[in-house]
Amino acid sequence: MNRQTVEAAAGPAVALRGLKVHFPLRPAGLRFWEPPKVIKAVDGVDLTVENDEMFGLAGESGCGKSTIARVLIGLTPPTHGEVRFQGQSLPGIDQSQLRTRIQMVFQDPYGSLNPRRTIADIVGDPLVVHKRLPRAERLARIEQSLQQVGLAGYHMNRFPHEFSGGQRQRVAIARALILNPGFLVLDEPTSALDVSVQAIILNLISKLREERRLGCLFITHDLNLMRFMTTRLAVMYLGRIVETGETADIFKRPLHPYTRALIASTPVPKPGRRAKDPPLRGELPSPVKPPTGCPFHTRCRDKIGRVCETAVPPLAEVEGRMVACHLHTPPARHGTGGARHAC
Amino acid sequence: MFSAMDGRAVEPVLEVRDLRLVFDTYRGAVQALEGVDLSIYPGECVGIVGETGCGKSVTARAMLGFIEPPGRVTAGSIRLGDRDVLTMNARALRRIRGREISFIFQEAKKALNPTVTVGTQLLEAVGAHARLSRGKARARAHEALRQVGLADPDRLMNSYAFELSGGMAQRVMIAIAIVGNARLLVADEPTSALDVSIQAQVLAVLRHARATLGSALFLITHDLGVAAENCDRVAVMYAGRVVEMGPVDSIFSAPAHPYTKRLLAALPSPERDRLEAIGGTVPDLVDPPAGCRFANRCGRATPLCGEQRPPVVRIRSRQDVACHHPLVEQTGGAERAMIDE
Repeated sequence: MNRQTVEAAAGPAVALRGLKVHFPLRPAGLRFWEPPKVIKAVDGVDLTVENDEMFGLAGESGCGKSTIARVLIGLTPPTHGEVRFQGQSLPGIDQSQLRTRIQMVFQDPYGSLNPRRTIADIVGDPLVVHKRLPRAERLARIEQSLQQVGLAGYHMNRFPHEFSGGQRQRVAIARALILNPGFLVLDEPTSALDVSVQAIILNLISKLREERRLGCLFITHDLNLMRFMTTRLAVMYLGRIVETGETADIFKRPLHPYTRALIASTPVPKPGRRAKDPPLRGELPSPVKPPTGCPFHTRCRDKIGRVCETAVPPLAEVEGRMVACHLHTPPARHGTGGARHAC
Repeated sequence: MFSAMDGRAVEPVLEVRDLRLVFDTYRGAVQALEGVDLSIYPGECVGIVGETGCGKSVTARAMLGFIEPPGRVTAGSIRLGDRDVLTMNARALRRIRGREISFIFQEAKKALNPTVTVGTQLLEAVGAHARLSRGKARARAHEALRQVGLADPDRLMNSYAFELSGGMAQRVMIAIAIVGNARLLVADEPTSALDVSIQAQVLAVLRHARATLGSALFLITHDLGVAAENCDRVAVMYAGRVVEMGPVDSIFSAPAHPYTKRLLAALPSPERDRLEAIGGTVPDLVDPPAGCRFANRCGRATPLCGEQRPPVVRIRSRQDVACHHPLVEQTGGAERAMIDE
């Protein structure tokens, strides 16, 4: 299908409205007299990513960032809320069409490539599924895709075990790009790689993004990487966005106490900086029984009082960005915050 | 060589000299360590950084005699006081492990025994180092758990590894490592499986334990940020050799080995527009080059680098580098230009 016409037709690449993803903890029917327990992996997320933007999702394990990635590529159905691609609602797009428009690069290149298939099979699979092409043309497209990521035609008949981690991640990127998608989800694409290889893959992603005007959702727990790669980002905690805005602004002056603590916890390879006391005490509360009120109040150093334990702070505009914290939006002002929920 | 505290009359806790180690494979012997030199002084934190396969873990394991076939030490010595770890028999090794040198493993949840309680494992460690009555041993175990910041030691002693979070399991590992009052703690990527907030907590626990026990810490990490913020001295390894070692600030602000410089340039940083990747790959260690192992990827390499192994030279106070053409600022303009390459 023609990408240009789709892009012209509608707005942002991805728009999430009130997204909730709840996983039931045990099979329904068992112990039916008790209310079913659910893990609220994503609990009300609004998010917009523009067409040629690099948008980051940050947060620690269990905050729901990978679940959002899975919802976007259609691997996990949303429990509530709306997912739109270029203006079209997700249930309205059939799966096959969806995959030609959005693709994903997974975290672990050792697990995401089938060890029994050749590189040509792996990279060419999307073509087999989505396009009817003569064999010769398909092979030409595979070779072209491999060349774009810095591999060559002679790699086509090799198997994944013959490649290093960095090369495998190139293969995964070639596979994601072969259908010319308009949007790419990158879930920790370099966390399994060494820094020198990470640099190669990040440069490759930046280059491909500029060439193709790709929109990207970049998921990482590494804030140094986030700061380098993205223009806007959202920080998540226990299934909710706690702060979102321009990357440069957030790093210059983080407003949410969790964002501040996360930035302070990230070690920076600079001389003269010594480790301080850990900025965050305690551990992530269980997502089965999240704290009442603000989910972060159990670990927050700036807790202002009972309001943090009883009322969920809404995501409201503060200094040109969105923050969900009672510190910045005193409860009295909550009435006005509800209307503007976009980020 | 790499004995950074020259001039002081302090004996190192542990001194590795010219350690050579191979792994026998069907393709031939992989020369994993080719003359590693380093020393660790009482109470200091020495970090060792480098990429996958550079030999940092195997160096650490050799310090406790954890080398098993196909690994084989071919030369060198590891001095612990007046003894050599490499020539010790199994009994002698058992006596030093935990009492003089302790090892903290990477994935604590996998390193702990899943079939017995935390208390059993901790008491076993206590009993291995001292003959104590049951009550005293329990008291010692409780003390160790409190030292690593774990509340409610009684309940914790009765729990199993799977009931613990990653951060708690790593604290338990540290508690087991410190009950013997070892003079040297060796930690192999103790926080790489943890989230940053928990990583900060575990590193603080290690700092605290080190301060109260006065132990030295040998910290293996691939995260240069962790090394920069926690270590006193840093050793950089590449393909089986320590290529540079020195005080943490000098390593990060004035790296002298081209590899160190390139590694730092590959890190994402707000001051940089583009990352500098290191071209090429690590040489095949079954048939390593005769000269410098970094020569094939190095912009400063000359024919000499391909032929001769670079000797370790001292370039600044306490900073040593194994390079024929170290990046040292001199008054000459030509040398300065090379640094900026």
